[in-house]
Amino acid sequence: MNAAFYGTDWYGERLTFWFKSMGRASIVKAIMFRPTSEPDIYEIALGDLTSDGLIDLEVRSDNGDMEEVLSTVAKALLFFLSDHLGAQVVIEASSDSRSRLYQMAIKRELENLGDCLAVHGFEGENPEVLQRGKNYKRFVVSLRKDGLEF
Amino acid sequence: METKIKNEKRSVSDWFTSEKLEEFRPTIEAAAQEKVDRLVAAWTPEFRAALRKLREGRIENRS
Repeated sequence: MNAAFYGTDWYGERLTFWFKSMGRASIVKAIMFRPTSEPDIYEIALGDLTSDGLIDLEVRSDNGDMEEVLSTVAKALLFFLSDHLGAQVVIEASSDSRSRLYQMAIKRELENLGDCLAVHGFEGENPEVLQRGKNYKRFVVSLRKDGLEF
Repeated sequence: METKIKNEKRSVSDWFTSEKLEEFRPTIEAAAQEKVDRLVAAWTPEFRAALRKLREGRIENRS
């Protein structure tokens, strides 16, 4: 099932996206894909923006619209990957509860886009196909090589 | 409470403009890069090797 998501604006090579989270409060959020020291590997960063131009990358907004926010991040991830075909995106969960949330959102997206996306979870140092009940510390998402013709 | 939320929504609309965001972008991207660099610094050689293997081998996944 498709979850509702927010419209986004982006800048440059679709490395930074903005949207308004409209839950209990209205919060401007930024989704950023930042390069790492490894070629073609990016990390995703999500944060809340303040009107004075600062960003809080550790905040837990608890804005009552987690489903929409995660779905919006997933859409931004797809936009990013469609512009960076060889890229892998690492998603790091800061806690077990975040890990479960991310895994639920990824599973949902895979139901729609499983033919296009390759997703692996890292519990330790080795990747594996996502399994229910596991708390992965990291996820790595890329476009499937054989799923690019969409 | 409802009034407060409405006011917050209005105030966000006031400053949430393309120009403003473009002005903020270098600062927030630098902050994000700083966080990402910290996370990446914690990657083990084994994790880096696994990432390379994934990239080269494109291990299939159909969860």
